[in-house]
Formats: sequence, structure tokens, C-alpha cells
Amino acid sequence: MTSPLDPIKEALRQFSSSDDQTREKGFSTLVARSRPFLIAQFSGSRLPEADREDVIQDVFHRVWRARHRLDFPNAGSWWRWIRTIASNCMVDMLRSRDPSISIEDLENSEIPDDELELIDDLIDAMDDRRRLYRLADEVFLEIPETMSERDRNRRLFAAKMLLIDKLPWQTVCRMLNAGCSEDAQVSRKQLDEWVSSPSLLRCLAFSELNWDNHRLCEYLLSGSVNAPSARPWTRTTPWSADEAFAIQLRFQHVMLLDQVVARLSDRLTKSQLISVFDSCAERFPFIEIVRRLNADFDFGRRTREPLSSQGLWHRLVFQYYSHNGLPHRDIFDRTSAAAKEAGYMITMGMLNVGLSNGRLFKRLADHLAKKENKDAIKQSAR
Amino acid sequence: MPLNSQRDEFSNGATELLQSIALTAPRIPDVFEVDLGQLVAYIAGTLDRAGAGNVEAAAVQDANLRRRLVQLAPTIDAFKRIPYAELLSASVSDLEMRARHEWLKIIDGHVKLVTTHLRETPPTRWLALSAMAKQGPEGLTAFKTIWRALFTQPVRGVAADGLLRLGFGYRRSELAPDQASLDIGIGSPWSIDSADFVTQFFGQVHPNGDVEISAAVRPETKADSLFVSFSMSGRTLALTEGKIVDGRVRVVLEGLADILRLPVGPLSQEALSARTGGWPEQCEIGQIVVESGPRRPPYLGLPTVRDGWLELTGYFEESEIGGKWELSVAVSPNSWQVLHRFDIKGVIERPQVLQAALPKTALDGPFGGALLLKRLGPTIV
Repeated sequence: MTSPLDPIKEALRQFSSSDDQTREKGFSTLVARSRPFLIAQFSGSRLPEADREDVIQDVFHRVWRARHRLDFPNAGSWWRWIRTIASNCMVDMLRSRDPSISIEDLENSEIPDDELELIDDLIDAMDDRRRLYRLADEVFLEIPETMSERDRNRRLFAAKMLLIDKLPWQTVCRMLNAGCSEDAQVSRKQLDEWVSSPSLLRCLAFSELNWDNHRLCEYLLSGSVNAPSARPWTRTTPWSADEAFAIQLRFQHVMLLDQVVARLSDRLTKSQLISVFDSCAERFPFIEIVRRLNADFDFGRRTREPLSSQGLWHRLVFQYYSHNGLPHRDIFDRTSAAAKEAGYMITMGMLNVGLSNGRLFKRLADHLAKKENKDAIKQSAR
Repeated sequence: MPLNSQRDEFSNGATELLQSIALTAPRIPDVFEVDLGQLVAYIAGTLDRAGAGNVEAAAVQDANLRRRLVQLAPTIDAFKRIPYAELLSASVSDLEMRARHEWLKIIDGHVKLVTTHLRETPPTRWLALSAMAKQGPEGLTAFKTIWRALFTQPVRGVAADGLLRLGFGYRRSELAPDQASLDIGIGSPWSIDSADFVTQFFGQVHPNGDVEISAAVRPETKADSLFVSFSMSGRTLALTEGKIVDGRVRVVLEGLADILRLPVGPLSQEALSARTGGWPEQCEIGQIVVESGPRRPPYLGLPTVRDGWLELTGYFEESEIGGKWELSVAVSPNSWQVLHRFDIKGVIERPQVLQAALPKTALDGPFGGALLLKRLGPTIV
């Protein structure tokens, strides 16, 4: 049984096996992982929607036919190759309909050789989302590379209990120390050090401000800050059933306005939908969260710096972009007003420029390259 | 660097590829579901590292979960103070009932493991403890429970909150590695009670964490075995009974150095003791911690399980009226559960058998878990 969550590296290893059963297993995983990628490649292309599935099938047929000749040393080489094959299949399909069609505007943009290594490293990291986000935390939130995931979570857990939940330090220590060995016990002094760390406070602010699409949708439907576990339709909601459905399409499934209009044209007009979505945007919780965090952070030795730091907002933009799949406009809607409240400026122009040309990815790739270089030096020193 | 900085870019081709992969890669759930049983186990300290990490990761995301966790802690504390038999039938709210169910599972599981694996005549020995620790995660937790209850001390700074009052040892950071073994000894030099019989006695810590102990015994010694023990923080751990073969004894104690964090090399002489004819007296209290305050501690027999009851025979010399003795059992690495409170009135010259109900999971035989007998009183709050 293969799953899209299976590591692609393992699938590639299986795919190059001489054993047919192992090869088929690897192929099955590659198909599961690559299908969404191909769909994304063809969306917005000149390939008619009705033909896309045929082209995808053609891509996988070509992969299977060439199986004995293929060898992928890393995930990056697989993705680059499948992207090229997809482009070729699309051209073939379009030309079968219209031989005079020009292929210049159908071809993929080239990837310069000097970027390949960085790209491949980053693609490897992308295979494990947690690793990708970990990189983003290190780059944007400045979480130390040496801090383990568990350690970071313990500190965040402590900071949330202390600063967000306003629990006394004794209770916080008690909870933290309940399950750990005697040499990992946390004292009040340590706790104070933790919550004075700007990187941890940035991390905490990110954790509070980063709402996935599902949570935001639940909140909009219910109006509750801590989206309760009960299903939205069991609660009192200010929306009609059609409006609630539209909100789900727009904010949970990230459909664009025109797509929602097309989907619900028999139930709600475009102006009604715009009104509902504007009303939702007014109810976004993010400004209020920034105000609360400002109050939470603004005492003792702590400052508001973590909230106005560009790293925090870059991290949020990256998350909304790479995890939530939000278009630039939606990212702007979710961040700009809250950032302004925090003392940082985000404009639509900055977002458009910042998210084009892979600048945020480039920073992750550079960081990853430095890390791997460090590791290599350590290894050779041993 | 501003978001729209013109430097540090990828080419269009690389950007398109990265974006397509990033936007279509599968999403892994951020945290795992955490149920009430895991929350109770987290508070009790019985989760392994990964399990505790999951609870913390989930609690970071979910304010309701944090609230529930904090609410549960005093509830569990209250359960610990209710004698076991009463706890089974205590009237509680719905949430408390579910929490109690989970707490009882922890107690029952520990008692089952202990009565299954520590069935030898007390004192509980290292070999039995370490064998239990190898019985999966539960065995390891049961081991930690007994170890912390009997052989460690409160840590400064965290004792005041109540939950962690018992069962915490020295911190590694407080001891220089080369002093660790010296500081945990009982302070007496080279403790060989049967020095007339033992001519050589040597302990060696190996890099793999094992401790090897070897001894030579005079040929005229009639004893069959040597009782080897280790002292730390004023308590003595029975290590093993080494058979004397051709005038020599050699035993290997797997993993002992890892637990005690002993440095590799010769073992500190102050910490070891060996004798013929039985265990050192300190080992007798290794099984049961007695907190009698200024009063004379009772003389206690060996705890035994019989038909679901823990029986403990004791001689009590009481000069006060109205006090009670409270018997508890260590059930998790940070918790003692009260089993029963006993009225001991007046000066008793006869032995009294204290009986306390145990979970049905208890097997008959000697009880190898950690017990706490504490004098309360005269007024119980």
C-alpha cells in the first residue's frame, strides 16, 4: 500500500530496483506524489482541462516505458525530469490538434546549472515538510539550529502557559517537569531566560498568528477565537447555509472569488458573495491577536521587537504561501493590517515582488547549503 | 532584508519548479491527536520521550488542551491522596470519572508489572529491576518509578509545587563527572563487613555501562555467596548475591553505570559493600521509605501480597494518641498513591499486620515495589 506521504527518495530507490515488484511499488508512490504536481503544472496552461488527465496518463506511461533507462540520484532530478516530460507531452497533445502551434511559449523556463545543486538540496528538504518549516524557522524566526524540535516545543509550551494563559510560574514548572527526567527539570530562572529570548517570542507570535485554512474557516463560521472542536454546523452561526458554504469554499478550500461565483451562481450573486467575504475579512482575528501579544510581551525586560521583526512576517508569508497555498492577495489580506498594528509594513507590491523569483526559497536554500557545508566540515574534521 | 529586495533570487525556472513542488507536496498533520489517557499519563510522568513530546506539541497548538492539562493536575493530586479502595468508589464528576479511569489504569499497570517481575524475596535487587526495565516501555517506566522513589532526593526549586515532591535525584550538572561516584557514597571507607573473609574486592565500570564486581574469599570461608550492595544518597541498593566459586566471586551488573552515571574506570570504594550471611541493614529500608519524623520508626517485616491485599507487619512504639500511619505505593515516576491510613493507638508490643487493598492485577507473593510509610498526625488535614 503506497501513500503520498511515503518519502520520494525511497520511491526513487525502489523504482530503480531490478525486482519488478519493488519497482512497481516505487512507481505507484511516484504516481501518487507527482499527480498533484502535474495538475498544478497544467492549470493555467493552454492545455484544455478536458485533455489534462489524458496528458497526465501519457506522462506516466512514458515514465514506465523508460523505466529501465532511468536513474534519479535525488528528488530534484526526478522533479526536473517529470516537468520536462510533462511539457513535452503537452506540446505533443496540442500539436496533434494544431500542428502549426508555436512551442516557444509552451516550454518551461530553463534552470541554470549553477542553481541545480541548491535547488536539489531544497527539494530534498521539501520532501519532509517538517524539515522545510524547520529551515524556515531557523532563517526567519532565528531559532537556533542546535535546538531540537522537542526542546523548542517545550519552551513554546512554557511561554504559552506563562504569557498567553497567564499561569503562575509554579504551575508552568510543574507541568513542564511532570514528564521529564531529573536532569531536565526546569527552574524559574530557566523559564525567565526562555521567555526573554526574542527568537522564542517570535516563534510564539508566529504560532499564535499562523492559522491554517481550516481553523480560520471554523472561526469565521463560529466567531470563536479558539475554534471549538464541535463541527461548525452544530453551532449558532450568523451565516445562512449558502453563505457558510461559500465561506468554506473561499477560506478553507482557497477558491478564488470567480470560482466561488461560478460554483454558487444559482444560489448567491457575485455582489452578495463579495459582501460576505468582505465581512469575513473584517472579522479576521489577526489584528486582535497582535494587540493581545503586544500587551503580553510588553512588560519586564521583554519588548515589542519580536512582533515588529521582519522575520516574523516573512515566516508568516512563507507559511501562507507554501503551506496554505494562498494567492498573494489573500496573504496580503491576512497579514498587512496585523503587521501594521505590530509596526511592520507589508504592501501588495512588496508581496508580489517578494514572492516572485523565489526569494524566500532562495534564503532557505542558502541557509541549507551553509548548514550542509558546516556538516561536511565537521565530518571531515572527524 | 525587505521582502522585495532585488538580490538573492532564483531563476524563473527554479522558482516555478520549487513553487509547484511546495504547493503540491502532501501536508503532514502538525500534531497528533491527544486523548485524556495521554494527558493523565503526561502528568503522571509515564509517557516516553516521544509521547511527552507529542503532548507538548499539541498543547502548543491548542489552548483548550493546555487548559485541560492544567485542570487535570490537581484532580490527579486529589486522587493520589484518596486511599485506593475509597478511590475506586469515590463520587466524582464526569470528567473526573474519566480521569480516574485513566489514573487507575496507571496504578493497575504498575502493580501488575511489579508483582509479576519483582517476585523475589525483598530487598529488590538490581538484576530484577534491570530485567523489568527491559520489558518494553511500561517496564522501563516501572523501573524509573521504583528507582526515583527509593534512590533519589528532591531537587531544589521544584519541590514546593507538590507534584514533584518525591522521587528526584541529584542533577548531573551539580556533580563533576569525576566526582559523581564519590559524592553519592555513604561516606564510610571501603565497606566490607566481612573483611576477615574477603581478601580482594574490586568494582570496574565498563564503557558499555556495565559494572563488573569481583572478589576473592579466603578458602576457609564457609559461606556460599557474597551479598553485594551499593550505597547512594543514604540509601542502599541490593545489587546481587554472587555465588562463591573456588574462592572467587564475579558478577556483571548490566547498565548499572548508565543509571548511576558512573564514570568509566575503577568504582569508588566508598559506594560498594559486600558481606556474607545476608544483606546490609540499610537494604531493608530500600524497599520501604519510612517518614516517622521525630518519632521512633517502626520495625517492619517484608511486604507481601495475599489475595489482593498488601500485608505489612510492623512493631510500632506509639506514645501519642490520634496519629495515623499512611501507606503509599510509588505508581509513576513522580507519584505516590495512598493505599490506606491506619490508626495505631497506644504502645503496641505485639506486631500489627497492616492490610491495604491493592488492584486486582496484583499477583500474590513478595511485593517488590517502592512503599512509603509516613506518620501523620495527630490531626489529618
